Amino acid sequence: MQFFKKTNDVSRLFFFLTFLLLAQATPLSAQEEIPYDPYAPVFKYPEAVQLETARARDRNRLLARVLEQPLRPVGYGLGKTAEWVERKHMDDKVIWFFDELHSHGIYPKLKGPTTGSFGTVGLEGRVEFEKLLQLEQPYVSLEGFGGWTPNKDFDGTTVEAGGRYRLESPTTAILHDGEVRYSRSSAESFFGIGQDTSLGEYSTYQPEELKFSTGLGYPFAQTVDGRANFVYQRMNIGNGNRERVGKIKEHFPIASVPGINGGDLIGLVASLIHDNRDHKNDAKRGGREALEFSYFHDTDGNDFHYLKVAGSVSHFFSIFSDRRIFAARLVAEKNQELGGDEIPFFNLSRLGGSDRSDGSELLRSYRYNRFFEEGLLAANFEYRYNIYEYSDFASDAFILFDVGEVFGELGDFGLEELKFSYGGGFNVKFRRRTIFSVAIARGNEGWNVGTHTKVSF
Amino acid sequence: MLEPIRKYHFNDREDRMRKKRLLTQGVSFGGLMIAIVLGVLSPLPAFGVTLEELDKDIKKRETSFYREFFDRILYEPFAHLLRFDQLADDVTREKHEALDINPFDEVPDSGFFVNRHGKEHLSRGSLEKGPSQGAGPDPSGSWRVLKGKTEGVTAGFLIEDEKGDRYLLKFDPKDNPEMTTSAEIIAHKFFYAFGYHVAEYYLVRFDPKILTPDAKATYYNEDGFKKPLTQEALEELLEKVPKLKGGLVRASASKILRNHKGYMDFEGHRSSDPDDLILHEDRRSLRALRVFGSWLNHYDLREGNTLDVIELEDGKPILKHYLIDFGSTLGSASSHPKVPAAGYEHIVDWFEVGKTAPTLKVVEKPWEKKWDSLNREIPYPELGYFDNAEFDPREWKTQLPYEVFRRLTRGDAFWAAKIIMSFSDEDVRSIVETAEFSDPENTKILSEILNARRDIIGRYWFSRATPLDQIRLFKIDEVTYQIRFADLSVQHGFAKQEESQYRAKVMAKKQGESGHQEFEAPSFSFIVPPLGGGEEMTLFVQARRGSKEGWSEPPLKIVLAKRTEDAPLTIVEIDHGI
Repeated sequence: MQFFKKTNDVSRLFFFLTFLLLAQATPLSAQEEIPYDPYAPVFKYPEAVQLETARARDRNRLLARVLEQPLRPVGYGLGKTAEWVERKHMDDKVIWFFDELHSHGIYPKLKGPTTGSFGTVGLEGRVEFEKLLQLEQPYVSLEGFGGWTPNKDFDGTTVEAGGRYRLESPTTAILHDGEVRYSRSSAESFFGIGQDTSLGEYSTYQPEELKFSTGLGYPFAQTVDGRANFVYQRMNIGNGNRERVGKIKEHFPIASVPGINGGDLIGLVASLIHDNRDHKNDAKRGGREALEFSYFHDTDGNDFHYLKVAGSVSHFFSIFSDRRIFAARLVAEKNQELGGDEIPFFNLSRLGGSDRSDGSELLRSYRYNRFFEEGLLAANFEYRYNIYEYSDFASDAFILFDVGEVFGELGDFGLEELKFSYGGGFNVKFRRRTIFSVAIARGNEGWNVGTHTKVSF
Repeated sequence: MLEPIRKYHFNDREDRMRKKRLLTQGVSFGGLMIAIVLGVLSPLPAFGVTLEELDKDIKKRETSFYREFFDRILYEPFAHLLRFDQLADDVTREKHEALDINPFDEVPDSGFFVNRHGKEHLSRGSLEKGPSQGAGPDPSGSWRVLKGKTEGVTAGFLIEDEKGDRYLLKFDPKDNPEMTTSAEIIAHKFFYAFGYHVAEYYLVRFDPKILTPDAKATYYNEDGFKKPLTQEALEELLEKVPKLKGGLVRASASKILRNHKGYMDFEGHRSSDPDDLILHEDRRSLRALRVFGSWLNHYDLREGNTLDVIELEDGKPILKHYLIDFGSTLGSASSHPKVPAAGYEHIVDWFEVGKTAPTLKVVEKPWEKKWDSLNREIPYPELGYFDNAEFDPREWKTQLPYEVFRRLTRGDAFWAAKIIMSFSDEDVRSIVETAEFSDPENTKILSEILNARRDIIGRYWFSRATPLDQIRLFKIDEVTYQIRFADLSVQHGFAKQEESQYRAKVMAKKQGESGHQEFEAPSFSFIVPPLGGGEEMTLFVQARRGSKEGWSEPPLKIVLAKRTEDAPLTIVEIDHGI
């Protein structure tokens, strides 16, 4: 360290030594305090309160933020809109509006397409007529539902409409219900049947379905429900609308795709479900197991005759905390033709995509409806962990791993044929209900991004 | 006030010429941008010197929570990426010293802040009284309800008492009796004692029958529709309020500030106010709200909870910047207890989300551990969710993020912590007692929590600076002087005097820099090198606790100077660093 570099050595040494000695010799008897006002009303930097300085500073600041300036009117406008929403209680009014709809049995909801058109949404909804007509009682319920989803990528729309009823007995737990559903999609993906189909076989078909089911249900226990249903299904299949993509009837030989011209079927379905999840939309523990047996036969001479066995098991495990959840789901299906007849392709097991609610099981790096086959075995794993929680809002991030395979016969199943997806995403929740979900997954066929308004499983 | 109100007039011609010069410098993009900027920066207005003129110059403006949410959570993080000045600060990690301080590292009195408890210990009576000028609305008379409260989250009414004074009545949630009203009463008195301008709040108990709706009174119902506030509606609203014995209702009554001009910016400045030339993010008094807020858990410190009011001060009109609405302090979030993450994370905390996502949540957050340890239940409903467990003054956050809080320096925090530490246990208890909890145990618990949080704040921020204060200079003889100081860490029991060591070095322009000299008592003497008139010498003082500890950083800087060669040395600057 250099001392007193601007003075001669003698005075440098004197200064250093005297400071040293006196510092060690404290305390000395003080003679006179030299006062000052610690709260003196003066500024340390008086130039900071000069008008010209302030103007120059403001000018420099604006220059440093010149890139932001085009955004400011937009930000201001949106900010003022937010202010208006709060001042006019528009949020309360919106909640009131939906509460009113719900109290009248009307439940509107946004719905996205099963695939394609990232970010586009349509509408769906249902009406509970006994609420609408103020005929509330616990024994009879009747509702209608419908939906419309645009899909720009697929050059068309998906529409759905129908109704269902439910009758309950005051003396027994057995219930009876039924449903009629009409649905039509202008284009759904089809890549052929089997595990080894390629993306090059991409074609689209236009399903139009009328389905009626009626049956009995019985709650064996608080967490166990049994059902038996009779089903009638009428399916018309046309070429998909999507341009620059093959049409199913032009791309595939008719004989290679059973049911390519549609068909009428009747069937019986029996199912048993055990569900002890702590929350249906945000399960942190418990699980759901379902087993289903179906028998189908054609009614129009198409030679469709088959049995279907399907089972799924999902379980949710808290890892030392309910903020860390390991979720696992296993699903297995097998359709077995009877008497040498066939199984229509539209009722085959399907695998691919990130939305299983429309029938294709989760394999999230692959496209929706990527694989069709008689049998399916798939497993989905997610590690979900809380990354945000504030009042009613929360968000989970998750890492996902999907594995699955479709197969014709059980003997065809081979571990080397398994398809994998891995990736991650997040769910945004309001009062434990997922209101927005994004999943990004990668596999052999590249990346796939899915956005939804519900949790994956 | 620091300076008289000035009246500024600008030479329009000069401004025009300046713009023209710039325009003619070229048609480059840069020149064009400057021209645009100058166009935006129109000359500041001529400032009024009378109350009426100032009232005319300063326009009223409004904001709301939703707007602030949008600005702070969605707009600002994006805009930040487009601001070269802020990006440069991020890259260089440059800290900005506060500009509203005086040479002795204190904040002089202004329309933003008035030194109170930190300067001179307020009496118990003064602490209990707070900013109150009267006794509040008289419950023996009738109160006219002018309208229902339309902002914020708690139920409330705007009333006028028989004297014609107007108050905003706010109530406790039914499941948390005394929580919101006590938070409001306690916190506003603390903030007043710190030195902020604070509205008058009174704790009132009244028979609901004294409330009479005005014929024109309206309110927003739960569905968001504006409705006439009839007697029936009033009674229905009061059904949601907890009742005391005899049907009385407990409320906080805040006296309405008349002639206000809306909210105060936490960033930038109000260009129409002649006394408001320092950027608010460079004001220590505003930066330090983060430290004061951390003590009282005032997570709702935001622009919408401020109010600018034109008042006469010593005959001069000035704009005073008030803090209002203390219902979301301590354990209260006004309509419910604070959520577990409050104070630990912003309402949407992109940084925390970004930090948590890659870690797969292997480790739980401190607030999560705390909440789990309580079995996710609030032990004292009257106090809301408030304690000192897992309290980290450095990490404490307001509900919405502001640049002004991000700019807090160690010097700013030391200053605030020093004021906080000036509250003794008795001071704290005397203020808490004014909340008049029905269960004395709540008074005891809350006082203990506040004492514990106070000490955590003091211990932390004193460790981040050289905690030496009350600097005094003594002249021993013509060339020998002595500095005496108070070691605040020792004074408040965070360190033992016998384990404390200090060192000092001196630097003078001509003589250069001495080596460090160590000593153990809170004073040291030194010989002044030959200094001419106006020349300065600087002392750098540091402290440490035990020989194994490091010396405090940044060192305390004391600048001494002589006005003339024969004049005695005086302290001209004290700086605890940034």
